[in-house]
Amino acid sequence: MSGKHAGCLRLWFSQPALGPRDVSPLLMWIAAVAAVVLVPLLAGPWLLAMVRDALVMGILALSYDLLWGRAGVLTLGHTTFLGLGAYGFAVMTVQFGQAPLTGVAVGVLCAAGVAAVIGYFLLFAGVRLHFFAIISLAVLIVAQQLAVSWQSVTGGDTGILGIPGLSFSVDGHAFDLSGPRTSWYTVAAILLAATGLIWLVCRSHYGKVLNAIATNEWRAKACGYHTPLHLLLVFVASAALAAVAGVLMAACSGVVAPDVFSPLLATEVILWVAIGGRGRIGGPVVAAVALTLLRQAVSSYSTDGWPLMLGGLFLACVLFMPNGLRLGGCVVVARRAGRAIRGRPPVQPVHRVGHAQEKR
Amino acid sequence: MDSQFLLGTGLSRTFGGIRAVAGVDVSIAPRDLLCVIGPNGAGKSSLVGLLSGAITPGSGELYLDGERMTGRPMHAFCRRGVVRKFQGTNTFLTMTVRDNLMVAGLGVAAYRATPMPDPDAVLEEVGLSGQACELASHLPHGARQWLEIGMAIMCQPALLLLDEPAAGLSAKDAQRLVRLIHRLRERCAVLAIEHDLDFVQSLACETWVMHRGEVVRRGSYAEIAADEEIRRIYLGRGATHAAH
Amino acid sequence: MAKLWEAGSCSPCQRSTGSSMQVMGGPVCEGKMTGILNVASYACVLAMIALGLAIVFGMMDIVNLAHAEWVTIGAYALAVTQAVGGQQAFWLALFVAPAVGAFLGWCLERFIIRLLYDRPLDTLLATYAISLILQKVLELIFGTQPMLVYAPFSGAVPVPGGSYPAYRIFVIGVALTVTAGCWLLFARTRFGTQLRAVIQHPAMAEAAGIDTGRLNRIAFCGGAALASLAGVLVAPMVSVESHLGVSWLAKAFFVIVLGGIGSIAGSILGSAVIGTAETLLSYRIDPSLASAVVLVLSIVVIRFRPQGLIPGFSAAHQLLGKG
Repeated sequence: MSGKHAGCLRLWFSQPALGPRDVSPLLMWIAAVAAVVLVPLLAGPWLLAMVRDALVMGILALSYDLLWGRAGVLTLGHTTFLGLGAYGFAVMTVQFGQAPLTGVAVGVLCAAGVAAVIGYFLLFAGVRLHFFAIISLAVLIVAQQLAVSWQSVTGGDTGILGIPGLSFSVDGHAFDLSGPRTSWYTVAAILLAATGLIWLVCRSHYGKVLNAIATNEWRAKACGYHTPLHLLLVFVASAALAAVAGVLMAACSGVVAPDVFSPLLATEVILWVAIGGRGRIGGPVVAAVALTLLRQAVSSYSTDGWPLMLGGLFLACVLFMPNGLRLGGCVVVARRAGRAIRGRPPVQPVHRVGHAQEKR
Repeated sequence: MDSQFLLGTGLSRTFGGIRAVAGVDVSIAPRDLLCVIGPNGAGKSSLVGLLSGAITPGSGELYLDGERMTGRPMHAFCRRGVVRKFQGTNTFLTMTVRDNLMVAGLGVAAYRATPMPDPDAVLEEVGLSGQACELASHLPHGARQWLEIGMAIMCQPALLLLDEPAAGLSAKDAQRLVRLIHRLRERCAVLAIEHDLDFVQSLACETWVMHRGEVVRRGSYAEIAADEEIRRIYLGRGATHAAH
Repeated sequence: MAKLWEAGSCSPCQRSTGSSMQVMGGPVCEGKMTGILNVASYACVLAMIALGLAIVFGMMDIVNLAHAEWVTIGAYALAVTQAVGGQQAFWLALFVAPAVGAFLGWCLERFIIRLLYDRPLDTLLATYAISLILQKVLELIFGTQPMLVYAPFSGAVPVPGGSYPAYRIFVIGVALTVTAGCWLLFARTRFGTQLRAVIQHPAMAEAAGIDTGRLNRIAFCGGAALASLAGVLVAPMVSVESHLGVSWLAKAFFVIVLGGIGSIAGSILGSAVIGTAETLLSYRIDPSLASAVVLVLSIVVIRFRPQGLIPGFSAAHQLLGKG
């Protein structure tokens, strides 16, 4: 039967021929590669570390774009998986003294496991939309509480300190990825690879299938798709990618605390995808990097300013820009400079049919 | 005798006190063509819902090719060849016409490990080749009906359930549809629900009449049209000519 | 138990002040009666809060994630009223707070929700943003230190097995009366019949001549007023600060999960179940584990009985998926 499955995978992931629509994403990706190579040569270590942390948020945004932007599954607690990845890595390397690679594996598997269980239980029962979103928020909040109260393992309120950076050894050769430049290249490489991979998946047949399920799940079922299974797969993949971001975050900053399970950060993630454009892959990544840097800038002036600004931005985006901002370099620069973002006039959102269905 | 592809015995379904379908027996062979007619509320759509797995029967059993399918989910029915073309239009509005067809075909093809029908050939067959790159939401109603039919064909049906296929089609298009259905009959069984009796007459096939959830008559269209009782069910007392 | 549900960063300072229902849930005096009264007081307040959420969800297909902020607003209204009028201004606040809540609810509906009627999921996000903003604004206006509020009377009432604070009995009484009043309104008046019609089938209700828009607004403001009243009642028992409402939001939501959307009886039953579970569990195990258990319970219920224990025949049930 493996022939059948191999054929199945080939069918799902076969790529259409390169066309004119692929030119600009490819160019942007190449430009990003160039930027990644050049920036360490120009920037000092502090700036490099700051942008690197923003890139980690880019990976988180990518994972959420896959889940919400592409597959249409809204969750309010996506940072659960970020936290699980970070804590998994931290606990493994610090409390149990394992090698960093083991920590990575545990962190990712932890998040994927939780996503699989919750996803299976809820998605296969047909829970969607509001209920799924709010339960994900409740899971996040419970995770935060458990991180605080399970002191023996998670270090309670203060969290875990002294997390080693990433390193691995191959055939006795040790590769230390924890230095400022090496960590930059590691994070950037993972971000670029993930972006490229997800772009390839989304332009294949499977991307169309996911789009269809997000647009009109009932109809997709009538076409023979076991939609809960596909949604579960995407949910688990998204959780795993978010956990990778969590691992990188823990490894690069060396510390993890319960506030990684932050509803505020989960809101920012939604905002990144909403502003960058749902399903646009590159857009949310850029939005994440830009808004994270903006947050650093605003927070250094006033701690109260950012939540207000975030709430306001979020509200404005939901009300007036349901399809996201056009990805334009000038807009990104404007945001980075902290100037006011010009919103588009109220748009009629592209209509996604939710539940045209019959009673059972 | 052909082995039955779909066998349903005693299918019933009640919605909040109203018996939508009451003890209907269905048996469809691989190349059958049949029409179901009846006044509004007779249970035709509910019957199609039961046969396609969209609705679970309250009682009764359903078998596809000998396999028990009662209560199985809708996608299982589709994978085994029972494909439904919907009544209103229920396409993927944000995707192009060609993508709609691709998505419709991929699921079943992947499951069965058989090649997908060529989307361009199907576009040709339903007459939408010119609109392949249009968004489905931009199509006029008639064209969307054809898209639905195309999507149903892409699912490689063994039994095609057509829910009011002629609704909104012009007379010319309706005749095109009749010819298409006769062509499709070489590959699969077709069951159509229709109100348009001209259309049913052109199909010239076995016809069932449903009334209050039961199948009250089965026969050729000519027999049905001549039947006084049927005319009374359709039109009420005192009718003297067939409905149009 | 507020610390179980606090949003934002988990700093030590916030946690120590977030004592919330810990005061309420902790046994005043060991005894079955006090246990029952603890459960009753918690469940009644929860029912008042969840009612507004359930009805609005049932009627308008929207989840107002900012709903719990009105509890906070009610509590702050009490604080301000008492700061101006003294301890006995509590009785005044019982009317002022719901009025303020209803007015702010009207503002929310008028300026935000109305723009999003055709996009129910975006309403979820918008109200989430509003709750973030509201929390921060309240913090900026009133500061991060908890505000002082006073119960209108103190003292204990003898009950079988010990004594119980009179104020909590008062809370149970008020909450029960108000909830019963809502139920009567819903089930026995013409107005209530119209509300139920809108819940069951808005288009049909509109076609029958019912002004669904006006009813929606009334229900929305009514729910907001109820939540604010609950805030007033709860305030003397918890610490009044900007994150007060967050702990109630998730629990109110679980009440809906258990009790079904758009049904008053369902909300009451759900509150009873959640109230009992949380109170009894928190006697024995760590509060955060208690909330984890309640979460798991809700997930299990939503998986096996998504329409809730007493479904309310709402069109919004489609939101539960089955898609």
